[in-house]
Amino acid sequence: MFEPLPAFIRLRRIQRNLTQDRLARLAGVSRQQLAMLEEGKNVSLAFLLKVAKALEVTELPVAGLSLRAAPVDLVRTVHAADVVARLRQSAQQWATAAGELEEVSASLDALIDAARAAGVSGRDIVRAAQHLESLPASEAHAAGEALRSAARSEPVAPAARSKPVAAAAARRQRR
Amino acid sequence: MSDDRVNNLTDLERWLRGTRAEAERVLADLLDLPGPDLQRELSRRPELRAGAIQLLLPLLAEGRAIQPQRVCELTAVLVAGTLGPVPSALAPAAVSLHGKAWTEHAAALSALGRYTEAFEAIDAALELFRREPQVPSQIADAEVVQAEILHALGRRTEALRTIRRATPVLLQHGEAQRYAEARMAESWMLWDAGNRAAATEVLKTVSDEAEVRGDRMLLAHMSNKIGVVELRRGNIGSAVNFFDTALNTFTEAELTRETAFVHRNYAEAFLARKNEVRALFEYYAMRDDLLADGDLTGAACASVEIVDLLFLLGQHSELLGFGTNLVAPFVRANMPPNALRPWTYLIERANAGELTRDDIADVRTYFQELPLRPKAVFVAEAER
Repeated sequence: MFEPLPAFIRLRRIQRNLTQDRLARLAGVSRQQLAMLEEGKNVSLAFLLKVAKALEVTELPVAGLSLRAAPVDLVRTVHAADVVARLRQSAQQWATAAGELEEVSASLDALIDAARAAGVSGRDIVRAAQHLESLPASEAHAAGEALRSAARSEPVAPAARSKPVAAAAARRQRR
Repeated sequence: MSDDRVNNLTDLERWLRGTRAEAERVLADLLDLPGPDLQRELSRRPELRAGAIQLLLPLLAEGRAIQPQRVCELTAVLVAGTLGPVPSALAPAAVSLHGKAWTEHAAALSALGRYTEAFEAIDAALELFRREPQVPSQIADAEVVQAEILHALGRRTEALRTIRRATPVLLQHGEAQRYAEARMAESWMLWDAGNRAAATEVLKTVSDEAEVRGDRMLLAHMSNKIGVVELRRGNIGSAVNFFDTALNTFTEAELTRETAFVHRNYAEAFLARKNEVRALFEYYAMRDDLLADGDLTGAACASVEIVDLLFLLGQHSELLGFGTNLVAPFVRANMPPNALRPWTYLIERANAGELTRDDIADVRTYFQELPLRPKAVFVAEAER
């Protein structure tokens, strides 16, 4: 519920010369809960409607709107207004989040660009070398092959991925 | 510089250019000859040998990993005879070319596992280099090959001594990539011998050297190499971080060939993560860099991977449109008609809805082998 509602309930109660205790009894709710409503704390929709009915109001300020309706429609109206209010609040939160996301994305892009520009350093090579040294024996052979592969000046033409050259030649022979 | 020296350099340039121009004219015909006929032709016209070596050396080094047998056959022919009539003042240059051919021959034999013959070949290269004063980095290159052969022959102490003699020379001559490769080879030799602490110490030392010297290029090459190690070990995130560093430095230095290699490594990393779409972008970048570098067949190899990934991703509409996207750059770059036919073959197959990965594999094989067979006919098409 929103800020004007507690003041509105309190004002209507005083206008009708009712104490919190008396209104609570008329509405069939506890005085503590009524006090909570007037203090602006969250209460249930059913509770609010009980109080509104006891105060004989057909108008409630909800979500910045002054809702007027016949008592029979007030429940549905207030409920719809409540849903709209919550969705509006969510939308505001999303809008804020979207703004933050945009801001963070921009700074992340800048950070990535800076990181790429800075690149790895000699220290990263040293770290990679240290990691190689600490590999378990089971991975030593593969690491050795990786070192050997990197030592070679590799050709531009990549090795065939889909099939070996020899297989292509054999197929041609079969044709 | 003395007048004699200037004259010698001018003569050298003229000789190298002259022999190269003639060889360039006939190289496609020469490469279509079977080994014995090529040998006979070069014996008949020994003046072509120097030019052929100049033209073939870069192709041989790259082709070795994929076609070691072919490289071995060609280098055997190149080293089999003399370089023809060479003015005495140009003898060191002739020896240099011959020595490089012997080095490549040794490396090809080594790639084939024929280590005893490889050792004799590298010995011949070093013997030639000792005969005439040479650029020290060439000798160092030969010594790196020699060290790897010695290691394979089980002569590990000699291997380490040899490679440790070679690496400072490479560093001194600013050969960052070859230095990084040689130190990685040293590290692998130690690792293979079971000395893991010493192996990783080599890597740490190189990175310290790069930092102390402020040598960003060496750091970039080492980062690329360590990235490959991480990639092979399945540490994809770490690999990509290392590739980022390499790519930044190579891009700043406008080294399009090096950036192409890094894009290829990225592509492999993304494929390992099953991210074919990102891999596709990397292959496009690789192709563009190789086109900028003037390497048409390398760019064609990257394009084959693009076609393969488009096919795997079910992007058939893009495949049908790849006439403009993929072939046009090669047409603009004046790729020879024989090398354009595989593309039209793929387009025809795609248009007919009959394109298969076998077709793509045929085209891949064709382009992988093309540099050492410039007039090669596209076999899949020829058989239809």
